[in-house]
Amino acid sequence: MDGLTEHDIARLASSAQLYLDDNTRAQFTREINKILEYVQVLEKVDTEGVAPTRHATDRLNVFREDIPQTPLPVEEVFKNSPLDDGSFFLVPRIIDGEENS
Amino acid sequence: MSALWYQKTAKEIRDAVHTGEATALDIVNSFIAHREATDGTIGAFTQCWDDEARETARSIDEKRQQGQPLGPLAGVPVSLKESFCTRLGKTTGASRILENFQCPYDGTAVTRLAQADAVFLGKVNMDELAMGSSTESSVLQRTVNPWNHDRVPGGSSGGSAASVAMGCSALSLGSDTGSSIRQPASFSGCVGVKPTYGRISRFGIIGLAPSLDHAGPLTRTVEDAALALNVLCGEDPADSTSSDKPVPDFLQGLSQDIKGLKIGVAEEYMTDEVDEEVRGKITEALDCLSSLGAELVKISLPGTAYDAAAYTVISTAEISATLARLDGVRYGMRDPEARTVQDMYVMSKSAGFGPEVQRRILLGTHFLSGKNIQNCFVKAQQARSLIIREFEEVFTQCDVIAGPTTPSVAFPFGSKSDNPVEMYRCDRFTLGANLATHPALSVPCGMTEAGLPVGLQLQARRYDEETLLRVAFHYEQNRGFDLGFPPIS
Amino acid sequence: MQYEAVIGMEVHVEINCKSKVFCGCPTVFDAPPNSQTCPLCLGMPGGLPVLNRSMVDKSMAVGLALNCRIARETRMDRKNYFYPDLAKNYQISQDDQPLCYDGYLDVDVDGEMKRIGITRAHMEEDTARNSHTVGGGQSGVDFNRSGVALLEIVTEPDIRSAQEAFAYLTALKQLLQYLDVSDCNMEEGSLRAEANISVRPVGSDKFGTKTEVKNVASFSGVQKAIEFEIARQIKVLNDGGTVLQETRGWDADKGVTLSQRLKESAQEYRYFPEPDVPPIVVDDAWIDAIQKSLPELPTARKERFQKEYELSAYDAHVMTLSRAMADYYEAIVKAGADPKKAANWLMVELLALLADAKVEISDSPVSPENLAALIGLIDTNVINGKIAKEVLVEMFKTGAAPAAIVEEKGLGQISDTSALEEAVQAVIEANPQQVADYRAGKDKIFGYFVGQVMKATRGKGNPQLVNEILRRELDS
Ligand SMILES: [Zn+2]
Repeated sequence: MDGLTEHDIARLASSAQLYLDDNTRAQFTREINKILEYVQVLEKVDTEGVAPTRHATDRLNVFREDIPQTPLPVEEVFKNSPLDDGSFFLVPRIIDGEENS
Repeated sequence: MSALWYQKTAKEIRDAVHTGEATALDIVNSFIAHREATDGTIGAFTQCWDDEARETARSIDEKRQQGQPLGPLAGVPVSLKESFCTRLGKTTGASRILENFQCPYDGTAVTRLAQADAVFLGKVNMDELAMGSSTESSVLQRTVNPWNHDRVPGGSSGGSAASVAMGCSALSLGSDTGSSIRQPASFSGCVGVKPTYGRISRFGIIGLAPSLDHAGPLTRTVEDAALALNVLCGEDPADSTSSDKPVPDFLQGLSQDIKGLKIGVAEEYMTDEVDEEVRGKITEALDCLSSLGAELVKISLPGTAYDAAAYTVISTAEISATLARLDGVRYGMRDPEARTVQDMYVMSKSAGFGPEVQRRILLGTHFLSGKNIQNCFVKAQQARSLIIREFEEVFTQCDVIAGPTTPSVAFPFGSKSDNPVEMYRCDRFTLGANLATHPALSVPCGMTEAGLPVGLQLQARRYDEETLLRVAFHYEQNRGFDLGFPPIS
Repeated sequence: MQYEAVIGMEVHVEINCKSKVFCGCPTVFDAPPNSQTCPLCLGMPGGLPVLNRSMVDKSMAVGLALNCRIARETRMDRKNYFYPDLAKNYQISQDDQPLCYDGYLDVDVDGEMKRIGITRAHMEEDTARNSHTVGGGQSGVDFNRSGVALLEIVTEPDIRSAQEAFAYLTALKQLLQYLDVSDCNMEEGSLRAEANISVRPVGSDKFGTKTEVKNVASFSGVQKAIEFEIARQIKVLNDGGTVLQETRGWDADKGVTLSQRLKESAQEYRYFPEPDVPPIVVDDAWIDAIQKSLPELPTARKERFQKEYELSAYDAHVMTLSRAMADYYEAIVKAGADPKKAANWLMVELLALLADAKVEISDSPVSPENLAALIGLIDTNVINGKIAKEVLVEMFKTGAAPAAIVEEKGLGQISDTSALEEAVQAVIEANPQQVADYRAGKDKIFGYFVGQVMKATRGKGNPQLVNEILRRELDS
């Protein structure tokens, strides 16, 4: 693992929707590189042919039956909303096609 | 006498309420008065629900008067970590981004406590979104170590540990992703249990790293922890990862002696990096267990060398996704100046998350990007498999592993908060149980010369909380000291 | 240069579970905005997903019907991206282990069978719906759709023309409706199709740069959009330009595709296993049970209709267009009607009435039993075919049984020999010239006498009897 540059950190911040000012970016770059250096110990672990642990649970096939439940009352739905019109959550105008899916 | 109810254990309190020796209201009032006298200094409580607590207490007393059956935690005053979802009050996660969040539902652990007739006194402080080991990253307030106000209470469940150690709640609900119940229990001088993954539902806990998150109780005694686990454990249809294994009566399991049990002592837990005084207290504790008829066996856990690295990769990766939902669209903080969707996200998150949270999100995003998924994330999951295997192997040689909870005692404020690597490394004895999902606890095993508590960590096989609690209980009964309460300043 | 198109389709189809895929919220279409939501599908802290068993069953049924292999061990994954319609800012989906993979669908393209490879079909949750009509420079978000069960079906790049794409979508919709797993309503958004389109010189085995065409509201729209896009790409190349990798939206009014977003590099979704949902393990017994529960699928049913009912390929095709149609048809036959007559009456007469009234066959006011009874009345000479059509119109209006209508309106056929003999006699007497011509060998005017008798009996004369008596009287 090579170290990350401030540019890399800025790119990660943009993926994570974070804004970093110059000082923070410089500080995070230092700190994160320190952590990455420390994480490098993993490279020495022989994991050849070892199956990854993807789930912590030992359960399999846990399902619910297809039975509708009572939804939240509308006043509860909007209780914490920063901006709504009583029907919709409002956000700054979404430009068609900028979606990612 | 009634003024001193706060000094009683949860079990004593519920017995007194059941028999009518005391009313729940008297008990709750005693705790509230004690909190009023002490918490101004300690700073554990972030929300006080005095009126509601008295209301609940009254209804419990009424129930008893009418001859109705009372729950196993009748009248026991409980505090909840800020990360537990409740309809009552706010659920902030000690973060700016959820500062005013009023959750529309109660989580399962909270519901189970309420059904057992526990009384909620309020919520207690934590590191922001449970990231930290000192409760310093909370945006709400500062919580101090009840034994030394210049030192941290531990974290992330620092408020829980401080409130229990101080006698301001008989039981506190905490959560533990890497150390967050056991480390503050060790620093502040109380019992903290992280049961097996899946024993306690995670439904209604502000999630962090779902494959590592555990809920658990902090109490003053092992017996109280067993009592709380009896109520908290069990399958929950709202959490697909909750265990469907039968839950034994943990209280009943305490009594049998520990003769012949094998206690594993790992060399990796007793190196020079562990404070000499801490090592001394652990050695005394091991001697005590040995004198009770347990057999000490040497074991080896070489995975301890890399479990912090595996933990860092897995936990931050999961964090980066789990916390993405905190975006200011449906709830939470939003800057009204945001003119575009992108601005809305960036402004909410940048102002809403503190530096520790941001740093971990960036790290996790890095570990999931491009080739790092294979080279870091999957590699860490493979390392996790090796750690699981190692513990399975060790648990064929012993029944319980004993060692220090942390390499050193509570540190002064500000001493580690700017050194994330050091902070992560402090957790290195506790991370194994989160990665391998087996139960572990911390129980006080003495005080340093400077008057700071030391914690003994015990770990047991998956789903074998019974043996874990039994060893802790017999140790506690025979350790030869009473921790008592911190002096009221 | 000659170009050929290379097209792959991605279809998102909402599976008709009664509750959402990871929470118990109801899934009624058109409920008031945000009235079918809960902490989980609003992405609140502490919510945990619990997988709807019915979604797995129905997805597996689709996979089996698409001749897919079913993953024995699979899981859900988190697909990470930020968008206001995504409650958690990650979508629970499936990455490298889809539930169904490696299948195909045989599609009828102008009478020729074409096999379209199915790469995968995977389970995921739908996103919320954005509304741009709230005004004030803002968009509204309705989370009713957030978390609705969604199956994404992806084909191999096997499709070579807009017509094939249309045929594929038609066959897929037919299959999904047969399986009763979705209402496949494109206008309501329960079925959404995207096409990945590229062109390359004929004979080349390399793929050209592809564009992704979205926002199409109908199958014919998809066909038009693909036609346009193929022509556009060929023109770009012929003009010496290069096709850009981008997402293009279909503007149905202008009939053009428009660039929406350049894909400079592959979007990074940072997929990783969803820790909140335990792994899914599928055994033989589960697959067998789903296989056994599958209804007879369109192709098999069509073949059976040809064999069992001796229908022509075309008739069998029409009779199996939808499961409802095929079920209706078989109900007529089961009620005793001759299979060929049943097909005729259904195709020619009833479908026309249904089309005029814009009524689905499943809501037909004429029950299959009544249609069979109508055919029976013809077979037993109670009414003739012409009257039967009138009776059917009446049945369609009132839903009444044919016998009751015939009775009430006195439409019964005259099979009384003496009454018909009288009518024949009257016609012969009234047309001496024609009788003379006929008897002189002008055979062709026999039909004229038949017509006159039918006119005199107001169409109710039993045609066979009328023929017999006329011949007897004229030839004597
Ligand atoms: Zn919901």
